[in-house]
Amino acid sequence: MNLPRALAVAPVVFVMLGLGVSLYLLGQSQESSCNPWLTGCIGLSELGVPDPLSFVYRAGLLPGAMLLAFWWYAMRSWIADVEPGVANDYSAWLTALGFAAAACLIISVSLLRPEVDQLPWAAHYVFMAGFVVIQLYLQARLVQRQWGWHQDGVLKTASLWLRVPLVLLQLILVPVMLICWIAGKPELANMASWWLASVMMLFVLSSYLDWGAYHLLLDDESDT
Amino acid sequence: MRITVPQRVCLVASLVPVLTFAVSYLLSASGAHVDWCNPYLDGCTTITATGIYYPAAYVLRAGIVSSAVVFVLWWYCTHIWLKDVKDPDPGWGIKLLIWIASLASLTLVASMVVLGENMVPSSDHRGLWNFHSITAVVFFVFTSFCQIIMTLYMWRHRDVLSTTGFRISAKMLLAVIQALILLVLIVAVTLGKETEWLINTSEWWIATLCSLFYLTSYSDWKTFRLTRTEQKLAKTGDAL
Repeated sequence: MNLPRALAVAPVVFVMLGLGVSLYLLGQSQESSCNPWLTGCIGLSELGVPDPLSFVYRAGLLPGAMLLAFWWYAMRSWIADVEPGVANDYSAWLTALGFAAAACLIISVSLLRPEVDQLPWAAHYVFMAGFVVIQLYLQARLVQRQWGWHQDGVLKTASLWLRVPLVLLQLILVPVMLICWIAGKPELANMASWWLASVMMLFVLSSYLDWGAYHLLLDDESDT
Repeated sequence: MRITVPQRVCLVASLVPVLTFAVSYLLSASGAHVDWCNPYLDGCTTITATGIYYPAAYVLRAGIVSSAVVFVLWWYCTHIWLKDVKDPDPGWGIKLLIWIASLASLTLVASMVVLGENMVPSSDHRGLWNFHSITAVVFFVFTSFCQIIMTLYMWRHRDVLSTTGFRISAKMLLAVIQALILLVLIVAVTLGKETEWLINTSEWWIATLCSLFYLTSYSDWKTFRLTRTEQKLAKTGDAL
């Protein structure tokens, strides 16, 4: 496996393992098992609150967020590889925003603690929302660019047909989650948030399809 | 001249942990959770103690776990750099060393994620404290050991690797100090003469020296391009 493909898999493995093992531990501590994708029995944030679930949760999500930042770095160089004439400013802000999204997720997860009454929920949600908004914006812009490549015949990627529905699904899930939350339907809001996280990770994983023959080519890495 | 990607990795791997230690210490001391002192000289507190109470625990957790991922990336860059500049291949011993160092960095993640006020009082949470202590010691010992061995390797091949002059002497200095501290600690623990001051100051010094070691590759990697090797390996059909 080349480095870009490893970067497509690693953040997804860390994040999903962190969430999956935490859910498994939750199931062990309860009489009935919990499938949040179908029942919304627990929120994404609530899962990272109690000990020892929070240890596994942090161990998965914090490195996963950092790897996600590197994934955006690889994405920047891939765009420069496919479209050498692309403005450097475009790829530079792509990486900068990717790192900002990762920083938001790191801060948001770090703020979770078992003492629920002292947990800074507002700050946690602000940074989590920052992560979702930036990540979704970047993914949508990426799909837009890939669509342009497809139209212009620059590059026809298999991932595009996976990414278009994934971004559309996210654009539906975000308002559904907000409406359910405001309407006092926490289970439905929880379900939407779990699906949103999974779809977001699937988007990252989809770059595995494109990066088989790609070996990190950065415009700022040329010999000086 | 622009800073290359590997050089950015050096900067982040060395500066982020050192800054994190400083900020979490200042937050803990200002919250009266640890004493005001110079922990490098007075040994009044441990790094762990600065990461128990909030908000310092947030900072230590986020900063060090993020740094641990960058440490792995630094070792990866070292691997590629050695492949790039050294012909023939550095050999299985060095590859094994890089694997050990990368795995040791992941034990730092395990060590940090358990920190928080949930560990207070310590007498009620011996299991967590033992887990934290063991994983932290594994990280420090193996990372120091790998850095010392890597320095010896670079010193032996300094002409081929162009790590002469200040480039190797900075590494040697850091490696020798780390080796001395580890040696003193091992002897003291073996003889049962370890004191709180010795353990505390050693922790601060080892953590800082390990972090600064990553910075010593900054000048080595001035002309090193991560991508060039990637391209070369791609041509020969060798995956990374």
